[in-house]
Amino acid sequence: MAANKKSVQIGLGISSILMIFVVLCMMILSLLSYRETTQKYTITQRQKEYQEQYAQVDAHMQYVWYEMQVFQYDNVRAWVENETINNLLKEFEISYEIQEDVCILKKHVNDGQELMMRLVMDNHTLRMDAYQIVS
Amino acid sequence: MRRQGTKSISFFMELMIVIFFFTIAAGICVMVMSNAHNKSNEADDIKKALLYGQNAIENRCMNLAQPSFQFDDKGNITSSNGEYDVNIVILKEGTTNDLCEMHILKDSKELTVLTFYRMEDTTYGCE
Repeated sequence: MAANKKSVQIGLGISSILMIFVVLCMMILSLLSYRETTQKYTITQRQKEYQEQYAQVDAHMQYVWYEMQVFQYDNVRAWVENETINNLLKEFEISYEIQEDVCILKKHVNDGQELMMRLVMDNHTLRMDAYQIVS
Repeated sequence: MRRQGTKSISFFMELMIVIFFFTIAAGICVMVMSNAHNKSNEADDIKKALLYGQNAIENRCMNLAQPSFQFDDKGNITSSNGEYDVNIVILKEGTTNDLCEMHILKDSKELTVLTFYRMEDTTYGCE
């Protein structure tokens, strides 16, 4: 009879070992998930910064371009020396180069990249010849 | 009998300690996970806001002429019940067109600010 009354006994320490295993798994999973999310967030922030910077530079360039089209001159230098345009170029921090009948406007986008707009003199008006990112 | 009782008390004590530490560890894990979840949601919102905003600017939506409108979850422009609020601020008035800023917000939190050049002929694209 005494032999029949034997019951299954859980040894001391089993629950601790189980807990350590479960907690370790949980910790690893949550840390991996946090790391992945942080990476995703960092990439998104970088993308956001770039797009915002690019949108701003693009808008400034377009603004200057449409303001330049209001005037008509005989030479390219006259456009950039016009008071309104010159003030805009200074305000938006746009640099310019003039080579005979060509005017190149450049604005810094981010590390090592610039948005370049090349304008060519064409019968008292300016024609946009190129509009691109240059490294 | 006494030995059996001592063993039961030890087991019970161990179980109590295990439950206590497990609760603390689980609490920390839940905090980390919820933080990660919030960050992930925020990143998704920023991505969507950038996409919808850029799309509206590139398509020259006529809604850009309005001071405010909304984007729904799929990026369609609505006047109410949208997920993302959009405010248009004029930065500089030009001779023909204006230099503007598009502020995209969700639950009053600013997600992104996109600068754009608003054409007068914003009559194509979008709705």
